[in-house]
Amino acid sequence: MKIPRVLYISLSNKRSEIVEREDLRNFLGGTGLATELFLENVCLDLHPTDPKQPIVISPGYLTPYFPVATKSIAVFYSPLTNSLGESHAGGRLALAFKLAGIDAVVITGRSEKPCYISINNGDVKINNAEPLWGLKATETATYIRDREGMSGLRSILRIGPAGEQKIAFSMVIVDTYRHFGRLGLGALMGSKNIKSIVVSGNGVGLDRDVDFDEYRRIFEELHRKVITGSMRKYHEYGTSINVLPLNELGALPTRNLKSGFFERAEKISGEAFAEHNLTRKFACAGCPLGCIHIAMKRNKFAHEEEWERNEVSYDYELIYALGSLIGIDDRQSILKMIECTEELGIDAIYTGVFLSWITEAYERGIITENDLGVSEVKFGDTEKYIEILQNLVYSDKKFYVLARKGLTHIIEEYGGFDFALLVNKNAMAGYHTGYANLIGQSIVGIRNAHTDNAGYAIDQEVKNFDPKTLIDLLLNEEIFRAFFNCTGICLFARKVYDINLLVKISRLMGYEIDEEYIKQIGEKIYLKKMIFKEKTGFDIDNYKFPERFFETPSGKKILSREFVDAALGEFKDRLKTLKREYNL
Amino acid sequence: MVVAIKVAVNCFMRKVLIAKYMSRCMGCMSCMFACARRVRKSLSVAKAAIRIKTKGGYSSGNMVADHCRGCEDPPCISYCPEGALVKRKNGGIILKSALCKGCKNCMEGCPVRAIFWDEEKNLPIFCIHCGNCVEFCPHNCLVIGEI
Repeated sequence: MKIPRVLYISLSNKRSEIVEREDLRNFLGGTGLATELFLENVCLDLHPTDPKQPIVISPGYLTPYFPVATKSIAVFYSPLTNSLGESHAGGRLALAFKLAGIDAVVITGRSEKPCYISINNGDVKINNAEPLWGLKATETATYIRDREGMSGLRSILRIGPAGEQKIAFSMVIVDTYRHFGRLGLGALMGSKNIKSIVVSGNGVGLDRDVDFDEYRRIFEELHRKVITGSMRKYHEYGTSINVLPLNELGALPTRNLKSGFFERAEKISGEAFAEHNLTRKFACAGCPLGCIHIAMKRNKFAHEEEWERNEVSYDYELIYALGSLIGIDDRQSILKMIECTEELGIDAIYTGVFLSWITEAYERGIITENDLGVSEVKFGDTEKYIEILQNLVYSDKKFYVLARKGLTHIIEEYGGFDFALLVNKNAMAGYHTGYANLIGQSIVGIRNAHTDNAGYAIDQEVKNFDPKTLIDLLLNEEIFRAFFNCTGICLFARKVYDINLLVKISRLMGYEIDEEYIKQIGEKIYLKKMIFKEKTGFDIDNYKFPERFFETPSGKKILSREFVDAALGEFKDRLKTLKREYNL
Repeated sequence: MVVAIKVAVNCFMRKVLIAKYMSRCMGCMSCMFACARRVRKSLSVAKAAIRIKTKGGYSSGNMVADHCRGCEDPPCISYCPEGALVKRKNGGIILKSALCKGCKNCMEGCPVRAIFWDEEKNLPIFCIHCGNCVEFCPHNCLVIGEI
């Protein structure tokens, strides 16, 4: 096993050092290494945005050695859930970390003034970013790019005004089109006065002593598999190809999940976006597939044919959250909403759930124009939604001050829990497919982010499961992914990289693992995260599901609470047994 | 007579890497990985003789490929005080590495910034116009063509 090189940056005393953590080599990289470093550094008794809390980011251990191993994993104390936060981002970040010779970074403390951090190889500079404070996330990078070198071998992270305001669902933008989107990492950067982080390196030390012929053979076979095999669908239309089939199933959350069917889904389908709006595709560094779909947002801002344009990325989750969920059926309006979340720097999925709750609460009279400063809020009204999001960041009204902490805080004050689409305090992903998705996101999942849970696939692929089978499937997959997310390989490629191949290429790169090791390390990581969740208040016995998930049919069936209760019972048993195995 | 003209033309033809369709580039860097892996026998894309970058960010326009253009009269050659650079017959540069003292002047001498540096060997990296990168571009942005 390679010894991980961990870069510690302490902003309060402006110091940094690289420590070779031989004791952590068994945790490989990515989520395994990041979780360990997080648990070592987190202060349980302090608020998540306290400057002492750590931001930990680690690229996968197979990055950048194999195709599609493009992910960096951030682990942090989420200000949105007051519990474990984990978010994954692609772009060039993982490659840049590895070029810089860094396997993980741990950032603690707070800079006295707004700063941006540049990490070049092992060198760390903390630069003044006062003029950048307050800028849109999109503008910020423009200045950083000009000041920093190594174009092409670098990655730029930045937050928008939402992160500066420590809004609990603010995100970090990575290389324009990728994000640490979920669970509020942007607020942590804001709380440390970090506007941006630039990572670059010249790759010294990246070479290893490997059987090069074998390496080349495997790499090139994988390259071909990725661009010609089953992953191809992610390139063609991308995940937005799912809009119509999920709608057909009755699983496309519509107007705050009052329905699983959006009658105008065809207007916002992946096919429609491709035909009318798609202008290009991008890829993360090291992924020959390229799943990032870019559309042109155009807007007529004055008479005499005055137009402005911007290129924004879209995918299924964004079309769900900023489309059907809030009743928007116009593609340009969806793109405008996406642009707004990018500029402010807020999680698009949470934003959709937040706005859809507001719309229904307004309909019911729970909140009014006085609370929002916006009148006649109704589903589908893009301009009103943009106004509300501006208020979220800039207004001092009581409603927005609460909203910045997340929907749960609004609900405590105003009520309306049962129609808030929350899964363990995070926003639901766009799949009302059934039990596996609901329980996976709410209970079994240890990351609570949309791509990291097998639930929606199990719902669609496995017929007639009982509670026990369901828990087995969810938990086994979650444990496997706890390992898989150490590698840095994108989850879209999980079917390309089967377990035998993972063992083989890990060993080729000097990681002496086998199938048993994969199972054990997965279980260990899973348990450590679950125990942290429990320590921060997660309690299955007292977990409450919003009623809405049971009111609106998932597909053609209404979900039953009895089934869910039985599944939770199974899960508790499995968890107890697992903990006993590890004496935890 | 015809044969003689053809031979004469061929003398001037160079067969080099051309980044012809960069408006199709996704920035996946497969070309850089291929160059590093196949030509440099390295696991590091920093060793590639081609570099893919944005020009002012992803949303600002096409990706850009920095790579050797195979100049007819390569300006980098005259920047080398050691005479370590020799013009390659079909375009590009042959490096006589034994002569190189690592001054990096050649990098300055390239108007399109297409000479890269191997920090470990302390030597410049030159494109040999072999076409390995071309083979791995998923959108066929790169070609080997005559100029």
